[in-house]
This record gives sequence, C-alpha cells and structure tokens, in this order.
Amino acid sequence: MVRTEMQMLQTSFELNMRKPSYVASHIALFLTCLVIGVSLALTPQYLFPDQTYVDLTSSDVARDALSAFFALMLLYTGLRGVFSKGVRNYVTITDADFLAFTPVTPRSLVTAKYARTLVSRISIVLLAFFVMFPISVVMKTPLPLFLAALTILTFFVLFLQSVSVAIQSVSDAAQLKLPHRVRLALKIIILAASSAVIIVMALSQYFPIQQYVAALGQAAEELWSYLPSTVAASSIVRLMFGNTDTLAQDALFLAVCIVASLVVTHFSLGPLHPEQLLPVPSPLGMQSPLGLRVENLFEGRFSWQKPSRIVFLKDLKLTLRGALIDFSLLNFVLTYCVSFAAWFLLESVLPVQSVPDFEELLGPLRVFVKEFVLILALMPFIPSLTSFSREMGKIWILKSFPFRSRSSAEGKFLFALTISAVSLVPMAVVAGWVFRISFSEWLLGILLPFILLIANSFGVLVGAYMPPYDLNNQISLKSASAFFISLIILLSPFIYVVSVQSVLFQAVFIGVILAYSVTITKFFLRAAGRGFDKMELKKVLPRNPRLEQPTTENQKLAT
Amino acid sequence: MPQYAIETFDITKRFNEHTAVDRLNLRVEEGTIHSLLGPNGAGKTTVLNMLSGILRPTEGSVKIMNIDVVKEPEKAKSLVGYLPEEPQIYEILTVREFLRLIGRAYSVPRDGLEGRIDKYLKLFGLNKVEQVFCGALSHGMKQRVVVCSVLVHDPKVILLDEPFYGLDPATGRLFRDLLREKAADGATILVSTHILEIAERFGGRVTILNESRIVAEGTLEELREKAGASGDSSLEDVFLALTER
Repeated sequence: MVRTEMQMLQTSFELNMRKPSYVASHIALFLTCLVIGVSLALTPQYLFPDQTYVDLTSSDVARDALSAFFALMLLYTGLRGVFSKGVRNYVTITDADFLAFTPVTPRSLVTAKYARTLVSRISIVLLAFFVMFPISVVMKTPLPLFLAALTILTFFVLFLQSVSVAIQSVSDAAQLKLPHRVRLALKIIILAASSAVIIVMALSQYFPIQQYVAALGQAAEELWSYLPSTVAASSIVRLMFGNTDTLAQDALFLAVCIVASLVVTHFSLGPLHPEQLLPVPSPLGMQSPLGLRVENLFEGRFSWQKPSRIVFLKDLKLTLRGALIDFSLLNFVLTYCVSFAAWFLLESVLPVQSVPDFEELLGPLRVFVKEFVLILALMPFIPSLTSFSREMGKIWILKSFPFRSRSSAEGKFLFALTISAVSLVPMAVVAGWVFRISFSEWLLGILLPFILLIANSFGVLVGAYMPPYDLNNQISLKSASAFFISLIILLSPFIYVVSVQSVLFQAVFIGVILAYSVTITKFFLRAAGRGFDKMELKKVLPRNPRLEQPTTENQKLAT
Repeated sequence: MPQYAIETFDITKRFNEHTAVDRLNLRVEEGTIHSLLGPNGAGKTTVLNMLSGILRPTEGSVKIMNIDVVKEPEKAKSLVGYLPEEPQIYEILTVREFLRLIGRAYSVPRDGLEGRIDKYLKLFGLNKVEQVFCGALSHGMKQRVVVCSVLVHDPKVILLDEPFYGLDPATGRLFRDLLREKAADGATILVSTHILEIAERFGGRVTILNESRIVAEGTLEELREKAGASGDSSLEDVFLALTER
C-alpha cells in the first residue's frame, strides 16, 4: 500500500518538475522568504550586545513568547484544516479523472499530493534560519545546538503540515457520518473557541501568558505545556541557551505527533470515495441577499456600456457571490490576526522602548517592520495578483469580446482597486491603532492608496504575462512574484521619507509619489493590455528530447 | 465577383516548434455556410481561434468583412459570434445574466436586449432555468446557453467549433435550421467539425484540412471530382480519399 503511495509521489514530483510555472513559483517563494529572512536578520535589534537585552536573554520570556507564537501557528493550521475544502484541495479535475480510469485509490493520490506540498513548507525553515542565526550569534549558541534547534523547528513545521491534512481528512470522513447542521455547529464552536484563544494571545502583551493561563486553572497550564507548539518552542529556546537536557525526548515527542497525524490521515482517507474529490457542485441560484443588494447598488450607479466597466462589474458580481459564501476568506483574516499577534510578541520580547536612544536610531526601521507586517498581511486581499488567471478556462469569453485589450486590463484594475480598498481601508485604520502609528506616519499612510495603485496594476500585468500553464489550475506564481517585487519597490521610498521629519518635504514627496504612481500604473496597464493580446489559450509542452534521441532503447521500441 | 466575409492570407500559427496551421488561405463567401473538415489535430480549432481574434497568427493576416483582425481587433470581433469546442462559462452567473453580459459586451441596445434574450431562451427551452446558475446546468444545457450567446448579438459572421456536440437531436435540428435562416439573411457561417454528416447536410462549400494545411476545397461535387470518386460516393469516402487514410 505504502509502495503505491510512494510511486504516486514520485510521479507527482516528476510531473510538476516539468511545469515551468511550478518551478518558477517555488523559486519566487524561496526568494521571497530569503529577502524577508535577510531583512529580519539585518534588523539591528538582533545585533545589539546581549547585555542590553535582559529580557531576550531571559529564557522564560523567550520561551513564552515563542510558545505563544507557535500556538498561534498551530491554531491557524487547525482552523485552515477545519474551514478548508478538505482533501479536495490537493486534487485537480485531471487527478479526479485519473482516479476514475485507474485502480489508484484516492488515499494514495492524496497522500502523494500532500507529501509533495512539504517542499514549499521548507521555505518556512529557510525564513527561520535567518531569524535564528543572528540570535544564536548574540547568544553564542554552539553550532551543533543551533542546528539541533533548526531541526526541532523543521519537525514542528512538518507536524503542522501533517496535522493540517489529518484534520482535513477527518473532516472529510465526518462528512459521511455527520449531518450538515451538526458539522456547521461544530465549525462555529471551533471558530468561537479559536477567536477566544487569539484574544488571549493578543492580550498577552499586557498580561504575562503563564499567569493568564494559570488563572484558567492547573489543567489548562498542563494542557498548554503538552501542546506540540509549547514543546517545540521550549526545546528551541533551551537549545539556543545551550541546554540539551530534553532534546531527545522533545524530538521523539514531535516525531510521534507527526507519525500519529500520518496514521490518522491514512485511516481516515481509507473510506474516501472519489466522488468527494470532485469540485463542489454549483448552487442552483443566488443565496446571499447581501451580495445581491451590493450588486444592485453598483448596477444602478454605472453605465454598463463602457468595456472596462463591463469587465469590472462582471468580476465584482462573481467575487461578491463567491467571496461572501466562501469560508476560506477566514484564512486571510486569521493571517492578519496572527501577524498582529506576532508583532505584539516581537515587541514584548524586544522591548524597544527600554533601549536608550533606540527610537532615534531605529525609527525608520520600526516603520519598515510595521509596514512589512502590514503589507504581508494585506497582500492576500489584493486580488489583481491573479486577475487574468482567475478567468482560467473562461478566458476565451474575454478574449473574444470586441474590446481593446487595455480596456480589459483597466476593468481588471478597477475591480482589484475597489475590492482591495474595501478590505484595506478598515484594516489600515485598525493597524494604525494597534501599531500606535504617529501623526507623521499616519500622514504617510496616505501612500497606501498609491501603493495599491501600483501593486494592482502590477498584479494585472503579471496576470497577463504569466497565465497558469493550462488555464485549468490556478497557481501561486503570480502572488509570490508580484508580492516579492512590489515589496522591494514600495518599501524603500517609504522608509526614507519617514526618516525625514519635515512636513513640507513629506508633502512634496507624496506629490511626487502620486505622479509616479499614476504614470507607472498607466504604463503597467498598457503593458498588461499587450500581454493579454499575446496570451495563448494553452501552451504546448516542449518535446521530450530523450524520446527523439536514436537510442538503442528507442529503436527497440520502434521495432 | 463574390464578396468574401472571411479571408485568410498565408496564415501560420506556431506553438514553440510545433506548427499548428501552415500558410493557410481560406475564403468564405458572404451569406453562405462553409464547413471546415479535418481529422483530429489538423488545426481546425486553431484556425477558428485566429479568425475570432483569440489567437494571433504567427505569420499572415486575417480579414473579417474586409477588416484586419490583427490591426483592428475590436471592429472585427464586434462582427463575430464564436462558439468554441468545449466552452467554459461563468458558473455563478445565471443564464439570463450571462446572455445579458454578452449582449452588453457587443453593444446591443439596452431596450432591445431583453427581448432578444427572451426570444432565444424560449426557442432553446431555457426559459425555465433562466435564473439558475450556469454552473448547475448539464453539459447539453450549457451548450444551449452558449449557442444562445452566439446568436443574441446577431453577428454578421458565425464561427462554430463542433457546435452540435452535446445537443440533443431536436435542439440540433433547431440550431441547424436557425443557421440556415441566418445565412439566408446574409450572415456567414463557418462550421468546423469532424462529423462529416453535418457538413453534408449543410451542403455548402467544404474545406478539408490535414496536417495543418488545406488539402482540398470546393463543393461536394468538386471534391468528388478531385478525389476521383464516383458520383454516389459519400463525403466520408471523399474525405478518406483526400486525407489518404
């Protein structure tokens, strides 16, 4: 049985390695992680002499902070598992067809698919390396112990991935046994409990986490200490502080957790029927009155005759209907909460205020980190990143419309701008409150719309030039590469301006940025139009050169 | 001198090293039904994609009603109604909304659009499902929706790629009759198919494609002559003779 799964895994790898989009998206992902990791590593907090950081060198605080952060990751993973589409996530329509005409079981296919996704999770370890390495230098952690800490982290990441699939497969198995209402009730309970935990985590800035949990009772504290996240965090902190006492048992515990998750997955995938892997059938009619009201509002306001508006309203309609009933949007909200919590914890561990002259020294860099966290959290809301790709197999409709290509690009841009502004403005206000942004920083917050202008038009451009390989699968290439480049382009001027306190200078700068944004947006949209013109409906695979070689094997086959 | 609604001048389409269409010269007279025949992989769909402006020819040019599709794509596309082989449509638009979207995109006047939609919905038996999402329809019903979307903006040139695939016999006949009516009213129809019966029933001129090139072109009688077939031989015999199978 395991042999079949291994064969499927090998095939899955081979197929994907031939897809340039798969390779490119992973390279973009790893590069992004590299840049983020290096940026974090270069944040001078880590380069301060250790005697300045009393709190950092206190293992209790570091352990609690890391445990809380890992617990949030675990929570996020769990919620993603509960609210996602189940193991269907790992299967494409082509895979489902493959299952239909071969004796391969859904279990083998899904196992192979999720094992393959572990490759992209390694990027998290890469990210962690850049954060942990400078810390290990400050703390003078011996290299073997640093590597051991990194290994424990890798174990934890693997555990997160396997537990996520375990939850999804159990959820799918439950689908066969439990009625819809019970499942919905369970999901709501899980959501409420998770929100409570997030709030507790967020409040940990003001109430030390151990005390807070202890107040909930001895049982809660014990539970906390046995969570894989706590075990992993404690182990990493101990290793970084040069303590190897519990290394073996911690590693064993995490390994057992991984194996247990895999076993649960294996058994719960057993009764899975191929039908459960097919795409969710469309509902018969409109189910969201709120969506209808918003649509009517827009439809009444605009003339439908202008090409860009036709594209805009079409996309808006589809998104409102899809987004309002799609629980997976919750993932993004959770990402945001996790990012906020991470920032809280970062400030708790590294008490910026207590360091003499720190504000003067690191003011602009603090803004960098804030903006970084902000943009990281907000990126998923910028839907233009997959604009043209979102059309997938339906791209022929847009391409056969008698519109100028640029009008289609403008429609996509208009839509992306509207949707992202609707989601970003309230988030920016909350971010201002949470990050305690100063007046001067608020002023620069005006830059956000310009950032959106450019990011959206860039997203449309990338979507036009890099459509998915077969137009049937949406891939993450667009978001990863657009995010990577936008981040570099947009953050540099921001940091510079914040460092200059003159309001006049800032006002002039905003004017320049406005002109720059409008110009570059127009340029991107024109280029996107050209890209959309050139976009092919499908790409032909390159010939396999090995088959064309007159090898003895081929000659034998030919005869 | 005949007026051509569709003209291609040495069009070639290459995908990487693969040549899907090779120096193709096709002419379709205005107000006629013309069939494009060919075995699988002959390049029929690529030709239609280039005619509809979805793909750009690597070399050569395409004219629809004397308008260059590459130089003036919006103008040319506004005259064309295209039905692809396996059309995917927006799943969460209702049938009426989808047809409305198409009508608006082709600048059908607002006051006349709803009437046209009603007409075709009724004709193709879709009036009971007009408020149902397209994604919830069966394959055949979806095909009817796409057929309606081709007709709703009253195009001058209709390009059809395997149009009868998925349609039941009654709807197929209805569509065929409608196409004849459209041609009689002056519309030009190009049907790509590998079902020879369909081409035979339309009875117009036929172009046979094989391995990216035109191998024969003419009426059934002209093709019979070219293939050296007898007077009572079917289009299938002629096709097989010309494609050397």
